[in-house]
Amino acid sequence: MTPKEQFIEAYNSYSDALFRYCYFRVFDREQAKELVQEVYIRAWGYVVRGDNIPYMKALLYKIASNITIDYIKKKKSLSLEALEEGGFTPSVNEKETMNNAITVQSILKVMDQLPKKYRDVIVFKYVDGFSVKEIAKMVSQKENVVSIWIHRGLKQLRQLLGHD
Amino acid sequence: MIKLKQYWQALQKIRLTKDEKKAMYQNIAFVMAKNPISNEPEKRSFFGRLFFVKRPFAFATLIIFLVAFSGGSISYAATDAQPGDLLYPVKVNMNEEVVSALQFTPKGKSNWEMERVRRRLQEVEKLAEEGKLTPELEAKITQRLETHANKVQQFITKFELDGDLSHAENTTTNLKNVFDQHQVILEKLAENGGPIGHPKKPPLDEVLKIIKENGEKLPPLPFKKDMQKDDTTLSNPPQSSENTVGAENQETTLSEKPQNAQEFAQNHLVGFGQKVQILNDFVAANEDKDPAQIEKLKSTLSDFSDLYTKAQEKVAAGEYAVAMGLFQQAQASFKDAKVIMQEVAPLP
Repeated sequence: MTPKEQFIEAYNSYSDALFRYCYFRVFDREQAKELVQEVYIRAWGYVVRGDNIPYMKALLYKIASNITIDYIKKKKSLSLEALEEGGFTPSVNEKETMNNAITVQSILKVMDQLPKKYRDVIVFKYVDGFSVKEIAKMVSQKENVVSIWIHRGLKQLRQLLGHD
Repeated sequence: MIKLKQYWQALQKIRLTKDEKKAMYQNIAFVMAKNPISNEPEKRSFFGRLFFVKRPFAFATLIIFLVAFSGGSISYAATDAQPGDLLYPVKVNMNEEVVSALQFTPKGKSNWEMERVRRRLQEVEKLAEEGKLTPELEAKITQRLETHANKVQQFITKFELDGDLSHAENTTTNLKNVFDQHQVILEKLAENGGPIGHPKKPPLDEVLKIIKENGEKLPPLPFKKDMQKDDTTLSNPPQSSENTVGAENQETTLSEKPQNAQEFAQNHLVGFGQKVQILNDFVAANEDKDPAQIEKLKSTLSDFSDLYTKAQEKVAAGEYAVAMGLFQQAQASFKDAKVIMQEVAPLP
């Protein structure tokens, strides 16, 4: 497979997951789309430059992490409450039922209260379906550290949801 | 109580829609088409490989250290070395690499690579003037010239991707100017030969070829401020199905983004109309010139007018993708027509 084909494959495989990754941080659908596009454009820059990219997924998430941090720094006032007041629409699919929308909204609110590292690994594991090994590579941590974060994150999430 | 599993399922529904995914791909594909992967693998110098160019600080420190301890005399002596001289490798692999490693910003690096392009071209010219340019030396210099030119092109891509369009534009203009200036000199040298009494003409075909090829690779000026507006022209979506990009043809995608596509197509239509006018005026003004060439131009004008009419119809019908195809055809035939026009009478 040529680098270009690999890149397109990476677009097809990870764009949804990257979109979620950005969306859970900026809580703005249009902005999340912009960020994902930026991620791929920057990654293409690395491909063009001929850089050795042993693990494309990790690179994409690294770029996504950097650009979302930059974006959030620029928009400090971003919060779920503010977005709700301004007409926050967490629903993606317009056909989604109201129940689903409420579920998504409530889980996002709770997720927002989790420490970033816990939220990241939980989303990777349970929403995006990545293995602990893959997550470890993406967040540059050891597998056992990731497992601990998942465990602690879930514990906190249950507490926040009143599932104890 | 809602189980966590249900939450995950709800969150998994947050995804790009098929249309969003495709539209985004169009934008990315535009950038990909504009900045293709170079076929040539990056060649590292001996010193670059030895000291891992990825650690330029370490490399620079080491070289400075060596130069300092050797009194810098070799390095100084190599400053004016020409290709073929004993000290030329010191000049290009040591002196120039040190300067390169000491450029800490992309702008500094791109300016330095530009300077190296200029130096290589001056070296070729000097050797050609003195009748010392052999095919072997030409090949070696050409290889270096291409490496430096590729690096400048990569910086242009980087500036463009980083949104620094003014610097991307300046760098492109500068590189183009360097190529243009030296192309004129080299073409004269190739035509007139080296010094008086030197029977052989200098071998400059390869250098001229590289200049031409690299000049053609340069992005068109001026740079577009908003890439999304013309995101559909160069896109090349992959063949796949369902929710992957490229499942539908371009026309469908364009009709889903009517505002951008319409505006874009209409702008092209205006440009197209101007080209028809230029051709028409030219043929009318030069009817008495070379009949064979004028006949060719008339034929092109006729095809061109047909394409224009068709494109107008397609734009009016909202079939922008088809119109874009016609514009591209017209662009290609206009390029050919321009060559003939130049032959018939120099263009203003």
